[in-house]
Amino acid sequence: MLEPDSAIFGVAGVLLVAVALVRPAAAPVPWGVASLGGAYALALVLSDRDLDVAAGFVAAGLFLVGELGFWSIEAHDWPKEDSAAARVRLAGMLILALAAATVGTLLVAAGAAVPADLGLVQVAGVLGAVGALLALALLARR
Amino acid sequence: MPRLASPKLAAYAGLVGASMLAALALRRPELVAIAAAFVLPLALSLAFDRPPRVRIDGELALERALQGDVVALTLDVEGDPVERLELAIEIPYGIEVVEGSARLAIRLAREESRTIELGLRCERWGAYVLGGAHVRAFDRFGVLVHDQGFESTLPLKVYPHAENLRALLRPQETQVFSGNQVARARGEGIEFADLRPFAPGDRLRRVNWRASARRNALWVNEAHPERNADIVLFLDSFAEVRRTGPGTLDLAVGAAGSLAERYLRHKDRVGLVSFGGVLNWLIPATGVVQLYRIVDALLDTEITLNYAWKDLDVIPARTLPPKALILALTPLIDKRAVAALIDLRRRGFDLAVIEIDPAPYVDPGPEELEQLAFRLWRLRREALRAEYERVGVPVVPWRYGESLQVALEEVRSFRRGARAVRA
Repeated sequence: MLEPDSAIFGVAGVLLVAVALVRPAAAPVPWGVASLGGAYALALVLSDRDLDVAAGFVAAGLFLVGELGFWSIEAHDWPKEDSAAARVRLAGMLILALAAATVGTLLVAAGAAVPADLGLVQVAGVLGAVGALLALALLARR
Repeated sequence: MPRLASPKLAAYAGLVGASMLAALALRRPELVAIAAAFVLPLALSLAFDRPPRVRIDGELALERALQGDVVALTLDVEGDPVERLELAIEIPYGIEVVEGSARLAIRLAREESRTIELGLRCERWGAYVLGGAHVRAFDRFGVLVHDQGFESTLPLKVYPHAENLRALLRPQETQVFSGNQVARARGEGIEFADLRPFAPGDRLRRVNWRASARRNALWVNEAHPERNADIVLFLDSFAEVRRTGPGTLDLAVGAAGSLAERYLRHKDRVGLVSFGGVLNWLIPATGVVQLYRIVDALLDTEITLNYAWKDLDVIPARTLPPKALILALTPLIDKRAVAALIDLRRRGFDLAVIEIDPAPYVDPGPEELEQLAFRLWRLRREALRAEYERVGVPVVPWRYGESLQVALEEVRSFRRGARAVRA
């Protein structure tokens, strides 16, 4: 059942992505994806379910929206693209989306196995988030 | 190749951070799955990124071409494997791509060389350097970009079309060397000049037997010798008027090239003065080499803004021989060029002005005041032409689309009716 509150975020996300494609401009794409993700997050909060096992596929879908959005905008500036490059890029995108769905599903399953109100989990979650960002920053500096 | 971040890097990093924060705040592990979807490409890109080495070798089918010709440019791209290589080939103004695309994205596989062919139409004369390109190499996930520029190294000279001229302007005085111009003096030649009584030393073959029979004495033919002339092409490069398409400078350069080619073919000595922000000159000389020197000098002509006052004193004396015919190609816009030409006439030079008419490039405007200003400007130009004609200088307007031969004929008819006035 679609909640009206989350539907507003969803519609906003779709509109932002549409604006990005029409203009074309890269900036609204992540905002559109964030808005769609926000709609999903709000739907999760408002629903009574413990865990959504399809979260991995939602993540893969959001990833594909972002990738295809950026690709459409690049194609506007670079209309002449090698067909081989396009095929390889599409294949890579689909493989990454599949990997994202798999990893996401495994993470949700791991989350289901641990009680959510355990304080250590909260700490581990914060440490994990900080650690992931630090790792990205270190890799970026290399 | 320096490494840069694509817009995706900041976007995905932001989405990762927002998802993680939302997951912690809302206590929903599903949002971690969303963060993971965007962390994957970031982490993989950053972990496996290596700056690729890319080489581009270019080749032009021709080094010299005429305006309107199509020249093939071939670029060979090779190097390390790159999933997406965006190539932006630099095409200077005056050259148009008619085959292929100057902006394209390719994939460079391992040990693969890609050949890119472009057909370039030479729309405008000039000296160009082609082959420059800007390259952006994306990693497999499109997150990181490596940027590199390649310099242009392929020279291309585009020559203006030479108009076919049937007849040229004759100078008032010729030089002492043999040429194709009929001189006013009398001597050995083909063109009959006059009869005179036989003098000791005259050759028998010059005797006019019919006249001698009538006069009962020997009379000989005198002829006008064929001599060459000195021609100086005076190009006004202070200012230019243009819209889309050829401007006044393009017309002037094309006309100068045509005139130089024809006069040199007639064994005349031709020189060049490009009088503008940058002064350029060539001393009059003859031959094919001089033609190439003049055309190459014309290709370098461009409008350079300069507010310093310049007069004839900056031009070396040898560039303007005393009896030379000076053909000025000018839009008569800049006061320095106008004053220099009047100064040339007052110094006694044989001068003719072909005015590259700027009026067709000017939009009078819809308002009454604008149209009044336009009419006043046209009247001022008429007054300027009258001032030149008062001192015996023909000024003939010439426009795009009209034949240069017609303008030369108008100059010739003016000179036929005018007397030379020396200050």
